[in-house]
Amino acid sequence: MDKPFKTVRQIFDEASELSDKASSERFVAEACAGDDSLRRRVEELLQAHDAAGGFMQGTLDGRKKSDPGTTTESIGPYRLIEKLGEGE
Amino acid sequence: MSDASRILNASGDNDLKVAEELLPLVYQELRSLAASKMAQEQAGHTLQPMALVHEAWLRLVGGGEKRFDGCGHFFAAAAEAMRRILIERARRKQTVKRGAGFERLDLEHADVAIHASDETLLLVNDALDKLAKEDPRVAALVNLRFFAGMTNEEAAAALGVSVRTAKRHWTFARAWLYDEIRRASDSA
Repeated sequence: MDKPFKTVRQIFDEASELSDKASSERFVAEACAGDDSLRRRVEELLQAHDAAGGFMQGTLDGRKKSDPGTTTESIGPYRLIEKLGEGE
Repeated sequence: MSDASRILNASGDNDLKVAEELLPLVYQELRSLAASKMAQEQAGHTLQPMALVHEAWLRLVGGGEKRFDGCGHFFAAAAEAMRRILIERARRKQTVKRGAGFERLDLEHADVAIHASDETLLLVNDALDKLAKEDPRVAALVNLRFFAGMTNEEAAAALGVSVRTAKRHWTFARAWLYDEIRRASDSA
């Protein structure tokens, strides 16, 4: 948890921009070689990145969205922000 | 010249001082704007933080043009003021409701601060204080986007960083805060 913030951030930034999971995992393993707690911390954050879904992803009603493919439909008190995936 | 314009014009020499001097002015203006909006509108109306921030900008600085670059101090102060207002509101509502059970933690719908449940809002606020100690620039971006409701482009211009840098800050901040909040609510 208390690994040097800057190092964690640098590895996270690069890993999160890699398009496929395998190369992201490979990159993290190499960048954290020999430092298991650093690796665990980066992996924790990458997992949170994947799990975060719509958390903090929206902009306000009636304003331009910064991400393409978003909608402004509402259901009751909730607004549909983006499509996260489909059921199998 | 208004107080806010005077403070903004004196910027450059001491950034921290400018933000400190602006904050109470902007806070007061936003609070009274928010209060009058809430009183005028029908029940159930939600605040539109960015609209309030613009109105405060027009009243305090009087600039007719909508621009964000070079006004970073103002928007940083406005975002911080908006955050305080929303947090105060959430705390007040929680005090009123105390004893009625907790609201559910709903991170999925916490897209911007005004849509978040009070419980979630307070958790984001606490987590953000921790993040600010590690990286104040990232926390400043979260203030602008989550609490003032700015788009990534607007927040980037207000902070004077590239859109790409702002996007990277944001991606990291979301993951960090999400992880922190999960941790905090697990141990609660």
